[in-house]
Amino acid sequence: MYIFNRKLSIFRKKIKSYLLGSIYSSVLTFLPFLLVMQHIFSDKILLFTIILCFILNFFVHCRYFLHLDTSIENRWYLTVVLFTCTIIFIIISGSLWIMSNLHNY
Amino acid sequence: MISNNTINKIDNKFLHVEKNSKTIFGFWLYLVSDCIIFATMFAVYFVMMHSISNGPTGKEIFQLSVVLIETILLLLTAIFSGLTNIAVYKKNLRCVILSLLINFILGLGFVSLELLEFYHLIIEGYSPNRNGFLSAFFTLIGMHGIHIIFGMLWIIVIIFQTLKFGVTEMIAIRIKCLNLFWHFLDIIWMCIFTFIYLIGVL
Repeated sequence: MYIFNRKLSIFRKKIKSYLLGSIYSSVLTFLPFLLVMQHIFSDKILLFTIILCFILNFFVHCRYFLHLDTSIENRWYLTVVLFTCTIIFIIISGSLWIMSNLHNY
Repeated sequence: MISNNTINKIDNKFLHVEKNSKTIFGFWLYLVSDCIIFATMFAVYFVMMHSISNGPTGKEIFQLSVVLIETILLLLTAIFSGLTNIAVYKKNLRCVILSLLINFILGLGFVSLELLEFYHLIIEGYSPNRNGFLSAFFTLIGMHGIHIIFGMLWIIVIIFQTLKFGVTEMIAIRIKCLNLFWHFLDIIWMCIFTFIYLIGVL
């Protein structure tokens, strides 16, 4: 009975996680679309809101859909993701930096 | 006091795949390296964004309403992938097949909308050989579309395998990899609509 209860609780946790994830990510997806299509605010505020929504949405996807957290089971998954983020940062910021310098001369 | 047999019977009602399976971790490594490919394409797009020799700017060619429908379709696939995961956990064969089929149809809708968008752009003369901005744009969006098409092929294969073998642990690991793939494509699409469409329209 104990095993059954434990598995049932994992099952309920999974459903709750997916439900919360879908609600959060749909709000965070439609909000920037709505703001840009209506164009209520100035461009700077819009840009800031869009990027903020993107970052929050990214974390929601990682937490609720990919089930990434800091538990020991997930340690290696998280390490790999952080390493890739570093590489992506170097690729994008490096090429933008070099190419913008190139355009100036 | 329940017998050992009953516990086994109850235990068999759920199928739990441990996350420390080597297959899933290997697939995770593949996804992460695919991320780097997309990052290089984004870098190319950002560099090429202002090189419009005689063509239109992004603001003139992007249609946000189409992008919104595509986004809704992809968001629904993410939700139905979650449903597939839950159905596998409950070992419900019919529910697994149904949610995989719905995912396939949503993916088909997404790809056809994307192709329609490309078709309209090319008809109006904004083909990839016009300028640097358009070729970077077509490459990035096309690459994402190709990933979706391969994901759809994978779904068909998984549906046939599930019908043949039933919901076993082997199938559960494969479906888990498939779901990781769809969530990954969803995250890439999030980057695309934020950094290309929404910021391009501003």
